[in-house]
Amino acid sequence: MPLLPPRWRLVLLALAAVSLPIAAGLVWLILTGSFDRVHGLLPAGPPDAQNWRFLWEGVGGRPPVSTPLLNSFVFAGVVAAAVVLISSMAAYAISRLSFPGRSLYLGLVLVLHAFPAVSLIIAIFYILRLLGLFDTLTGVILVKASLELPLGIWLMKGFFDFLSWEMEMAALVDGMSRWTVFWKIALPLVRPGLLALGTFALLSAWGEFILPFTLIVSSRNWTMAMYLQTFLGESFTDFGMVAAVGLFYATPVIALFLLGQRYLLNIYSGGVKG
Amino acid sequence: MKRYAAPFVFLFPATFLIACFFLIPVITTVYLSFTDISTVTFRNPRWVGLANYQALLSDPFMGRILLNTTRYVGLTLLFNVGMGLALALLSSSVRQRWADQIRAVWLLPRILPPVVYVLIWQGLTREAPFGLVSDVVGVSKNWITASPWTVIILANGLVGASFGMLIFTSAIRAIPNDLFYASAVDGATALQTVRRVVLPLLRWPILFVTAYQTLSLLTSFEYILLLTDGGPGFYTTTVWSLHAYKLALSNYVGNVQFGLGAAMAALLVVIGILVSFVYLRIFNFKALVGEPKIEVN
Amino acid sequence: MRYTWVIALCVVGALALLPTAQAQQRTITIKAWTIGPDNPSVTRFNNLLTAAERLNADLRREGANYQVKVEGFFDTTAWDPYLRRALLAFQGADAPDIVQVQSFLIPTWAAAGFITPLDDMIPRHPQFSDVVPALWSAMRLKGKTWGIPQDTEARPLYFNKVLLKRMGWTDQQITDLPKRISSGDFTWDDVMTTAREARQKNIIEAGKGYYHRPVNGIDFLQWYRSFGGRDFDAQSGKLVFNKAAALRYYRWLRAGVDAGVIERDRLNGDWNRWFQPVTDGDGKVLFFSGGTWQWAEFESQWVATRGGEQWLFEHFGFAPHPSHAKGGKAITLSNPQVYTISAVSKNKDLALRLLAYTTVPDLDAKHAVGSAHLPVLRRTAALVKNRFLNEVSYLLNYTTFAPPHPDLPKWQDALYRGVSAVESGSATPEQAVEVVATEIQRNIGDQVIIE
Repeated sequence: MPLLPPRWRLVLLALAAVSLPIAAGLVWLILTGSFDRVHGLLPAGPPDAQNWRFLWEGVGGRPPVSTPLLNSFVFAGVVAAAVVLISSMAAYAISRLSFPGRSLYLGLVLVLHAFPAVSLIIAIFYILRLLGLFDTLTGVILVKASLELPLGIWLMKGFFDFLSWEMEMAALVDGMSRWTVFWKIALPLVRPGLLALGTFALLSAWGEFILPFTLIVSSRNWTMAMYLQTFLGESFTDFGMVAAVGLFYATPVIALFLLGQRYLLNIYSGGVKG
Repeated sequence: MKRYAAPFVFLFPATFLIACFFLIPVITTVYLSFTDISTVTFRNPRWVGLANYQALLSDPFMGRILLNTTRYVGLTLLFNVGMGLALALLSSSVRQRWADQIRAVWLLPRILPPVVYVLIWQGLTREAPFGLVSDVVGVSKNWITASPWTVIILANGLVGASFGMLIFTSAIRAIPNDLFYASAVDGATALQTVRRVVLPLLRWPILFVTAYQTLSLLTSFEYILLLTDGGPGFYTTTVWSLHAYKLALSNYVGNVQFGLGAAMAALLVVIGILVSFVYLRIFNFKALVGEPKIEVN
Repeated sequence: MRYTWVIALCVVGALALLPTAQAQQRTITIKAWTIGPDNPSVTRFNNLLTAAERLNADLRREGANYQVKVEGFFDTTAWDPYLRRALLAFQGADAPDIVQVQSFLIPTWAAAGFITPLDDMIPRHPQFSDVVPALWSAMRLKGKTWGIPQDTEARPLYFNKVLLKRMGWTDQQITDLPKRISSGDFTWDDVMTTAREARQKNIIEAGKGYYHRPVNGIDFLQWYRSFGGRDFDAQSGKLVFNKAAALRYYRWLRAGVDAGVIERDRLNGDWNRWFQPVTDGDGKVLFFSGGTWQWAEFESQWVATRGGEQWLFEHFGFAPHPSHAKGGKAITLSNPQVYTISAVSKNKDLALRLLAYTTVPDLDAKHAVGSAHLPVLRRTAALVKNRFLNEVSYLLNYTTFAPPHPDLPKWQDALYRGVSAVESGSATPEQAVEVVATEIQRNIGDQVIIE
């Protein structure tokens, strides 16, 4: 809102107070990962580099952390790219083109979101086995991308709807093929939406753990989520090291977020002129 | 045929993936809900008709799980939408750079991988001297065990609120400045401006967020699984989707009852579909779908 | 220039020799999945590695053209995800060759066709003839042997000596306690009385009179049995559910919760919050049901800096579980871990040979001492000079095994649900027994007798 209320600083204070617990959580994570013991939010022991030993040695028979790290990067990146591309294609068709069953398709997409994805796991397992993709990153990538499509299509449709279609119309009249219109004219105009969706998908895939947890078995295909989870399940939880692993796992995401924040906030600003 | 070539090409990848990993598994799951598939009969399930559904209906504890689910979805939704709206409105009322920082903090629970987020909750709710909550409140307890519902709703709420916050903030940004200036010229207070100008224009985003998050909450259980595993004790925080998952895949004693879990999942789908129809009805789906922009064919 | 052809000849010669060299060294990979989840049991996997080394040495001596490589993991998380992954893996042709599992799951896995019977191959390996004969019964279903025992254990009732002393017990009384339990003189009612007394005298906090495991497990079977229940009818081969015994057990638990000596949410799923109070300070829990392997976990992870085993012997005592009636039989449960070989394995013979190399006294002893499980070979006893193992081995005289029935997991789950309902107050003991009986009847049908 362009005009600030007169006592906006009070509002800011209230906001800050409400946000305090979240900040406290982050502080806890950083401190616990750095020190030997933490009481509340106060370190009660010396700084402990041993918490980070997972970086240079394989802890308790696990593979070196580089393996799950690389897998997570590949998983998140490919899923995001696939979701963005495939969703925008489908959303463009729904927004721009007339075809039989159009509203049915859209309704189906929304309704699919209601299905508990994880209860599909056994059925998905059979399909993956059929395609020879069980216990592979490719398999989990396909599944995760598919599960993100409903949201992606819905979001991108919103963006395309907001776009004035004069330019596309003009290009079509000039004889451009629909695909070229989509690729060269429409897509660049919804860049904020693409980046927003991409960021959402990236973050969602980076944190995903139930899917790889159930569909991946070999430790060489672990993602970071599973790697961290193996520390949490033990009866003797070394909170210091677990927090360090958690911090390590979350850092790329926090960094990415700081870059992509502007795009996320622009989701609804619709099309861009020119 | 050529008339539909364009839609076909654009829709093919999405349709293929959705068919492969949604539709076919849905059909398979529904089929399996009519069988007795379990660990022992995994390769050769037998058709048992409605036996699984009857078992569910006659289970004395299903009512409790339904109650839990209603409680979970209802309260968390309230928090999500309410807090999201509040955050969007309040953060739009302060200077941009502070607003960005506040919003960044609120996005943190969402972007943090669930396992890490739950770890933080576990760490903060431990008994004294480790747990911050115990220090602040003055009573040393394991707060997850002591108040599981509060923890579950807050934990999910902190994640969920950011979704609404983002959508609403962007929507507020999209409101033409002229409307605000006009309102100021008319002498409206900030509150009145919000009521008369902002909220009406937020109708579609509020609908979208409410619908989307209702469906999300009906099917999500990841945080509950990690925080309380449906406990402590007897189904205290078990919701429908979690129970379905555990029946189908939870295996401590080596007993997977996938048929029963599939039946629960199938019922959940029905509920979900009904809920979506209700929302679409109330909020005018036709207007939402709109007319395609380019009248091809 | 003139040396070029020499070099070329050498290169060609080397290349010619290469296929032969490669033919000398074919590597067969044996995939093995193992799990603790307790950390000290890592020998379940490492022993396979050591065995592979020894096997390879013998293979070289025999002039075989292949070597064995063991690939796999040792899971330290929990049984739940491990079993789930195993279930999914068994559906395909690339299941692991060796899968370690609890013996009570053998009937289920055998009935499902996951694992292969080993009777034909076992006689080929002399190492197996030294296995304690009683253990084979836990490996058998319908006359066939389905796995090789990896270790065994017993599940004692631990008690805290320091807390008993604070209550006024003399050293003699404390030393006599295990004998009194074994002879049936000290029953579950006496446990309850002692716990209540401790609570009244404020020696223990609320809920810390009796601890049992925080998650589902086969232990509940032994407690049901200790209250007089039988679970298997040998003649008909069916499972049995005795309502009276279950009722007694549930009532005992309920009384404990009402008296404030058992936590309402004891089944909180968190092992951390079992181990921590048990070992905190001088130990805060009076009686706790556990397993012998936890001794190693206590020692290496919880009291390592406070004197390790010394601390344990000063603070903890152990005995079989009491009976519910005076003069009744004390009881414990053994749930041996088993190496099984999957039905789709392409290297069954080699895998079994590897297991034979693993079932030798020195590796058996290494695992027993390191993880406080009990050895499976008779000769190992001579090698093991471990005070705890020696003192605890008498428990095996009171031990029982899980019944050999594929539907046992369903039975177990139902019993566990009852425990959970009763402790949390969601159902009275009477209601719980009815619900459990109905569930068992519905899920197991004609394979169970309700009495």
